[in-house]
Amino acid sequence: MQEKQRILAVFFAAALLRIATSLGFPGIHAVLDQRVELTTASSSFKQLREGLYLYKMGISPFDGGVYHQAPLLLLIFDILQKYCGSIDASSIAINAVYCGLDSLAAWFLVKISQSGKFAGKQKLDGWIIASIYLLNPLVIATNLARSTSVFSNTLIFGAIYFANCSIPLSILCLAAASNLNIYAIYLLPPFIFLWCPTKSVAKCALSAATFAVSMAGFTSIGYFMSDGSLQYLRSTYGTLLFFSDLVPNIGLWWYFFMEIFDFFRPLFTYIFQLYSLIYVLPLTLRLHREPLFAVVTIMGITLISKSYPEVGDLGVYIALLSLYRHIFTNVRYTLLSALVVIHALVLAPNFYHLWIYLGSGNSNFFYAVTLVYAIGIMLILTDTLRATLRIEFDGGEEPRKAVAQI
Amino acid sequence: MLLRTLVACLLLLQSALAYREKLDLRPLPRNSLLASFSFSLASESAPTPDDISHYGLFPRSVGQIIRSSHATEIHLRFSQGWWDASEWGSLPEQGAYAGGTGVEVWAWVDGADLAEAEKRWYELVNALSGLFCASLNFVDSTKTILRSTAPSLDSNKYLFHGSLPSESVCTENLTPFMKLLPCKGHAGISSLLDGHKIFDSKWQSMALDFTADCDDDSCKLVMSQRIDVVLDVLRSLERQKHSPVPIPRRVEDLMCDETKPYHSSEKCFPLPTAPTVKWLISEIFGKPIVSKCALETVGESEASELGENAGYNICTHITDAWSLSRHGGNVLSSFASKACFSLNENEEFNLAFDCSNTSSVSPITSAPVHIQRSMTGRGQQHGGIQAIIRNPSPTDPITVTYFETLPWFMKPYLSSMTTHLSGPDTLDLSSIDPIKNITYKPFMERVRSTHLELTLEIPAASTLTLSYDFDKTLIYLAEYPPDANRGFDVSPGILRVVSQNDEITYSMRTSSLLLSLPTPDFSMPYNVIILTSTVMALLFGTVFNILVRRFVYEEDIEADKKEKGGLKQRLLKRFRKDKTEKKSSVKSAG
Repeated sequence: MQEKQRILAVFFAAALLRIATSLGFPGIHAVLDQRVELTTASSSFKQLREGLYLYKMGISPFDGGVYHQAPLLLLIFDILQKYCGSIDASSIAINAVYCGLDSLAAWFLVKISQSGKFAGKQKLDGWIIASIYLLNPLVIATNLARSTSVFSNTLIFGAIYFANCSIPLSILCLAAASNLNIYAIYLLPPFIFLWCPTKSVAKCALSAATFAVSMAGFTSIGYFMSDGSLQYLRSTYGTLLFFSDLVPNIGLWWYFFMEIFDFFRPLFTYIFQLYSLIYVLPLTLRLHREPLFAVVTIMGITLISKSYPEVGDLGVYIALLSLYRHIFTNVRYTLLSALVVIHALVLAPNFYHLWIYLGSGNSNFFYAVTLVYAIGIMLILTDTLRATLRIEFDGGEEPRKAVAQI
Repeated sequence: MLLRTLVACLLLLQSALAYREKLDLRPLPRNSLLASFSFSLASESAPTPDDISHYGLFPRSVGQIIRSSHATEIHLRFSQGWWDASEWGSLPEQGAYAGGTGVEVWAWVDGADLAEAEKRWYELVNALSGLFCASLNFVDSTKTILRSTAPSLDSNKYLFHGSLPSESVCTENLTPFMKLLPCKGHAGISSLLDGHKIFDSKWQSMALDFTADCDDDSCKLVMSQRIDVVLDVLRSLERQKHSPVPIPRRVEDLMCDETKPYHSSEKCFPLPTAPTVKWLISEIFGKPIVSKCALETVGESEASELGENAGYNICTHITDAWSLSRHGGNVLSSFASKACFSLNENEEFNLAFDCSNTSSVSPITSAPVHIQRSMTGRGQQHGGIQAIIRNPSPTDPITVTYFETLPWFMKPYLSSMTTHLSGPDTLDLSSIDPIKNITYKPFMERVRSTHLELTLEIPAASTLTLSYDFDKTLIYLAEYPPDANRGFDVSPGILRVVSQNDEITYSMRTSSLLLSLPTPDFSMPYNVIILTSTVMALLFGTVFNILVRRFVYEEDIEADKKEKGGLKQRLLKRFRKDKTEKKSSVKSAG
C-alpha cells in the first residue's frame, strides 16, 4: 500500500512539474526545441509542425528538405489537430499527450521491474525506478522540447512490458517504435529471444515474420499519405541512413561527415551504419540468457553510433539500467563515468553557445565535448556489460571471488 | 507582365526597323544623372529556322545559341548598386529592364517534356556564360527555379529562372555586351560606354533581351540591349580633375540641410551636393560621342509616331534651371523640358549642361510600391526574414506578387510565416488577410532551392510586414567558398505590381542578403578522422574484448601457475627444450 502511494506521488509530481512548467513558461518549448542536444532532424517538433502545415496545404512534406520524420507521426498529429484544434507546443492536447506518454513509459518500467521476469531478482523500489525516469532532467527537457522521440521511447518500453504478457502487442509496439526511430530495428534479435524463450525455430520465425509484416504496414502509411509516391522513403529513412541533413548534434557523425573528403563520404556512410549494426548479433548471442540486457546494451550503443542521437536517449538508457540493481555492486567506474557524462552535458550547451552565438570558440569546442560524451557513454556501457557477464559467470550469485578475463 | 511590354515594343520595332539606338539623360536630385542607353535590333525574316543567312545585323553567336537551345525568349540582367526610390522615384521603364544585384537570367525554353527543356536550359546558361564572361555556368539545379509552364503548338514551353547574387558585374561583362552592337562602341552613343565610367556609378543595370518571333513559315530574331546607369556627377568631375585629395568646399558652394534642428546662419550640415554645376558629356563619360552609327535606320512607323522627334539619338529631360549648348549634331526639338538631338556621320557630338539650381530637376514619378527586406535574429543557428512592403498610394489598394528564392542551406518554416498590416486608423486592417495566394516549393538538400511566390493585396496607405523563420544548416567542407566567413548571398526578392487585368505595371528587386553560416575548422579533416575513429575503435575493441574473452577465477590462475610454474621457469623450460631439440637435430644431421 505504502509502495503504491509512493509511486502515485511520483507520477503526480512528475505530471505536475511538466504541466506547470509548460503553462508557466509557454516559451520554453521553442527554446528547448532549438537546443541541438535535445532535438534533431529525426525528432524536432518544429519540423513536425512544418510538415503538418505543408501537408494541410496540399504540398507533400516528403518532397522537401524540412521534414524527415516518420509518416506515422504526421498521421497521429493530423488526427490530433482534427480533434483538438491547435497543436501549439503548450496547448492542452499536446501537454496531455506528452505527459501521458511519459507517465505510460514510467508505468511500463515499474511493471517490468515488478514482474521480475526479465530483469534481475534484486530490484529497486517501484517509486525509485519511476522517479529515475520521470524526474530525470534529461527526460523532462526532452519532453518539454516536445521531441517526438518520446513516442518511440514509450513504445520500446511498451514492447518490453508486453513481451511478458501479450506477445502480439509487443511485436506491434516494437514495429511502431522501429517505424518512428529506425534504429529500434536493431532490437529485433534480442526481442526474438524475449518473445520465444523456448527458442523454438518455428515460433521465432513466426514472430519475426509478424514483426516484418507490421513494420511494412506502418511504413506503407507514408505511401498512402503521399498519394502513391515512394519519395517519402528517401526523405525520412534515407536522411537518417545517409545523413543528408547536416546539423550539429551530440553524436559522432556530423563533424566527421562535414570534414571528410567528398570522395570518401559514401564509403564512410556505409562504415558508420555498419558500425552501429555490427554489435547487434554478437551482443544478442552472448547475452542470450538475458535478452533484455542485450536490448539495453544495444540501445546504449546506438546512443553513440546512431546518426541523429539526442540526450533524451541517455535518460531512457539510464532508466533501463535501473532495472539491474544487482550489477551496481559490480561496476567499477561509477564515479568516473558519471563525472565524464555530466561534464559533457554541462559543457555542450556552453561550448555550442561560444561557437554559434559569441563566436569566441569554434566548432572544435563542441566537437570535443561530443567526443567526451561518447567516451562517457562508452565507460558506462563496457562497465555494465562486464559486470553483467561477471555475474552470469558466477551463476547469478553475488560474486565473492576475484576474476580475470583471458 | 514584362514579357508583354517587351513584345509590344518589339512589335513596334518589327515593321521595318533593323537597328536603333537612343540615349536619354535625366538629371536627378543631388547631382545624380540617370543615363539610359537603349539599343534595339532585329534580324531579317528567315524563311526557315535553320536558314543562317538572314541574320542581318543580328549577332550570329546569339542566333546560334537561340537556335540550339530552342529558347523563344532569353533575358539577362547584370546589375550593381542600389536604386534610391525615395530620391529618384520609380525605376526607368517601370523596372522592366532593371535587375537585382548580380546576374539574373530567365528564359522560355521549348521542350517535349521537362527533362528535355531542362537539358536545353543548362546548355543555354553554359553557352551564355561563355558569351558574356559571367559565371552563368554555376546556374545548376540548386539555382534554377521553374517558374511556369505553358503549352505551345507541338511542345511545351518552360520558364526557367536563375540568379547569381554574388556575381560582381564589371568590364568583362560590358565588353561582350558592346561586341553584340553593330557599331561595337566605335561610333554612335555606344562610344560613350566605358567600363571605368559605367561601373563607377551609384546604380547600374545592363539588360539584354532576345526574342525569337516565329510564325508558321518564317522566324525573326529580335534583340534589345539596354544600360541604365545613375552617375554621381560631382564625383565624375572630381575624377576628371585628378584630385585624389578631397578639398573642403568653399562656403558659397555649401548646401545646407535645412531640416536639421540646429540649422542656422552659423551652423550648417552640408549636403553632399553643389548648388550649381556645369559639365560636358565628355567630362562625365570620358569622351564625346564619336559620330553617328551609320548602320542605324529609322523605321517608318516610328517616324509617323514620333513626328519631328523621329530619328533622335539623344534626349535630355531637364527644367528651366538648366541650359544646354551643343557641339555637332542636329536639334530635333528644344522644349524646356525635353530637348532631342540627332547625330551626324563623321562629326563629333558633345553637349554642355549648365545648371543654376541643381535641386530643380524634371518631375519624378514616385514608385507605386516600396519594399525593404532584411534578416532578423542573431547567432548562426537560426534567423528570420522580414519584408516590409509599403503602398504609398493614399487611395488605391495594390496587388503585388512577391517572388523569392532561398538557397537550400536556408531552411524556411512556412508555418512560422506571419503578416502584419499597419495603416491609417480609418481602415479595419485586422480583418484583412493580405495573402491571396501562395506558391511554395520546398528546398531539397543539394538538389533545388526554395521557391516562394506570394500574391499580396495591400490596402491604401498601408504597410505590410511579412516575416518568417529559417534554420541554417551546415554544409560540407568543400562546399564553403574560400571566404567562408564573409557569408553567402541570398538572391534579391522580386516584387511586381499587378494591374486589374493581370498585367505587370511595375517591377522591382529587393537588395540581396548576406547569410552567415556556422563554419567548421577548415584545418581539421585529418584530426577529426583520427579522433572520431579512435573513439569508435575504442568502443569496438572494449566491447568485443569483453564479449569474446572468458572469465577465470584468479585462484584458478594461481593454481595453474603453480602447476606450470612462473613465467621465468616456463621460459627457461621452453628454452631448454628448444636447446635439446636443436642439439638432437644437429646430431641427427651430423
